[in-house]
Amino acid sequence: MTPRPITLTRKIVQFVSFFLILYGALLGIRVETPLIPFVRAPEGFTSEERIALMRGPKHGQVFDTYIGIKTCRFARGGGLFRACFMHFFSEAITWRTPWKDFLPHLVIFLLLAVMLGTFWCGWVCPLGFIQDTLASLRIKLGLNRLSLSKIWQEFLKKFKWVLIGFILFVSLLIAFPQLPWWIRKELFIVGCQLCPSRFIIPYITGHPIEQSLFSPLLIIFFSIAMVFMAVLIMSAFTKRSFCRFCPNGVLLSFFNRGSFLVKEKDLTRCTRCGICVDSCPLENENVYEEKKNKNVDFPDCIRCFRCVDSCPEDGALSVKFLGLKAWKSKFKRSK
Amino acid sequence: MNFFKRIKKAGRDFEIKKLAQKEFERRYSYPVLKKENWQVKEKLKEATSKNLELIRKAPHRPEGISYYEDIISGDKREKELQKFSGKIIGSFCIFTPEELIHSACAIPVRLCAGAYDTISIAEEVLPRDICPLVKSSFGFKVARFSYFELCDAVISPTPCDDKKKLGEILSNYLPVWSLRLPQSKEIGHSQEYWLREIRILKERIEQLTCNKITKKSLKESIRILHKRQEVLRRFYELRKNNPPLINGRDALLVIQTGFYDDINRWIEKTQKLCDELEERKSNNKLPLSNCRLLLTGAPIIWPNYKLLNIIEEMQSTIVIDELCSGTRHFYDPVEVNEWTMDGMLQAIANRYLLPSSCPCFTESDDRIDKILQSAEDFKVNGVIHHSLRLCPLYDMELPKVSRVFKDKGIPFLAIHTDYSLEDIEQIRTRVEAFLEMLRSRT
Repeated sequence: MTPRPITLTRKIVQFVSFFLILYGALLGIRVETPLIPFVRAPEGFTSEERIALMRGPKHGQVFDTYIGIKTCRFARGGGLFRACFMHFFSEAITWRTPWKDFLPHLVIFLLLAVMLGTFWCGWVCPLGFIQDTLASLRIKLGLNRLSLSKIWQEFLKKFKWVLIGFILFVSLLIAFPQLPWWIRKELFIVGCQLCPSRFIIPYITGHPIEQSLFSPLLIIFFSIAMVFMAVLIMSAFTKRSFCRFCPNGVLLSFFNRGSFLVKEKDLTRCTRCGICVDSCPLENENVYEEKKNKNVDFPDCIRCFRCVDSCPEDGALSVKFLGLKAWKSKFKRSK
Repeated sequence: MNFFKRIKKAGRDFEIKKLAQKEFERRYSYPVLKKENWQVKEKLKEATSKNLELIRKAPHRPEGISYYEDIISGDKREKELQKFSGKIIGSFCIFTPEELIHSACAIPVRLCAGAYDTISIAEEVLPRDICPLVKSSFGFKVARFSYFELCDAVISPTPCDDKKKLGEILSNYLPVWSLRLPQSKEIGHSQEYWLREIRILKERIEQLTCNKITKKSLKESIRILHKRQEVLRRFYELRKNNPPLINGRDALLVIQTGFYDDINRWIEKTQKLCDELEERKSNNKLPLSNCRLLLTGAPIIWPNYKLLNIIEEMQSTIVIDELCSGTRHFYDPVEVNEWTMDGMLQAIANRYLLPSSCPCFTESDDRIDKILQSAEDFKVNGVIHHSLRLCPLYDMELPKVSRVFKDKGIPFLAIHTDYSLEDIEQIRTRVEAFLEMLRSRT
């Protein structure tokens, strides 16, 4: 009913970036970047020996780089990027990639993260777009929302550290050649094995994965991944439920405070009407609670700026980029 | 999982239906007094006409205000409501979700009264040492006139002690639904409790009116009430102007007619009034004011405009108020994020609980924030705090509020008064001295 300019822009950006990230290479662009090295698997990780699910991209990507969001490596139809940064991070640990190959990718990630923080999650991430689409479908059908209870919210806040810690620990574990090969090969890129995007994006891009289940470890990972998949599909009812523990989001969230993009709150103008909590896809209360500090950037935020968009007080919340005011909240007037 | 949720939801609906059936027990009766008192009616008429005269004396009033004068002083609206075939639901305070009432094709009427003359009749039933607002409102029921007599049911929220018990006493006269407010406003615990209360209220309204509140009707009523907020925000934007375009009494008249007026007509008329004010802004013939005041504190309701008359007779203007009978009633909008039944109910529940700056809640800092912000926005020169005798809530907050303004260097005057007209001269001398001080500062 009431116009929501930021959400509208965001939806357009999400839609465009969803297609670019998953089908960008089909446009026929190829960018060769001599500065950024192509990271290859070392000897002993040859493609024949890797199990089928780890098979790399069939087509060459436009950019042989990694960014902080779920730009899935299994988008084999024509992905724009090679993989997500979390994937690269764990792979680099496993392969013991030399620093001179590792650093350029890290620098790109840091640049993007310091500039915008978790902005990527809210505006660009294809998995986020899928979750938002599911939620808006549910609203179109007129079904009620299920709000996650406090216990689950707190649990997921802790669980995300467990998950990212587990992924990094396992990646480090396979780096040791002393471990038998049959274990190492099944633990390889455990983050991808758990990731629900591996089961969605290949189907969207038309090159389904081959999942082998002939070993207990693979079955365990597959079943955890199915639980995560269920969580992702439940996002139709709980709005962005997967983002609560997405490891990529954890990596980006370190840069939320102190990035170029800043969300500010006018402390006395805020009437504490709670609309920001109601509109938040992650049901965060941080922005509502904050009454002492002007800066309201929090690590749990995905920076969709729905709170800024739905805030009814003129200028109570504002978004600044490098000190310039990008958006500010407004009282909605129906046309 | 969905199956369990459905069972849970069915259980919740059953519980709400059961709770909605619950009424006051009334195993022991309370003295019931009903007598039509023509004397009081006459007295009240006299008081209103006297007040109107005083208001009309003020210079530079917009023409559009005469409509509001008619509605608030005459019985035009009462006659309209008598002809209305649907249900009329009365309420106290600012916590009643009007969206629900409108969407069930009923009319909400706010019953809080400011008449001094009905107090004496109410005192035959109620104790003497309680809030004058409660006594005055109850007096209307005893004397059987005005809007109280037209109501099919009354919603009684429980902000303070006096209103809490008033519900039970009123239940001897007509159906009363108490709307139990939580003691603090916080996300989570009190929010859930309050949402349940709203669900119970919805059930009760549906049972009384025999109209189902559907998604469509609720959306429509939210839209209409949002329109009212839009008009009001425009009105407040105009009040920021420095030659003040409208004085405080007229602004309060506009808002307080909205308590029972037909909503569409009120929006239309207020839109027109805003247009007129816009015109005045460009004409720029009005004198500048260096006595722009902010009024905060206990409710000031028609016809108890004693304090306002005293203040504004001395060439000063109340440019903004922070009263529950003024700004606080209409200011916050319902902002729905999901147009589902639960989403709308949640948004409505949030709007009536969370931004409210009523001192009946445990925290008072939000109210101070609000006053400070409006003092800055409306460029006020001084703040007047009105507190009613025997209303301890505002008195308890007063030291904190006055301290804040003292630190900020904004002159602050606290006035203790009542509905009676005895202390007019005392107040006048105090206000006079305060305004003198203000003028000498600038």
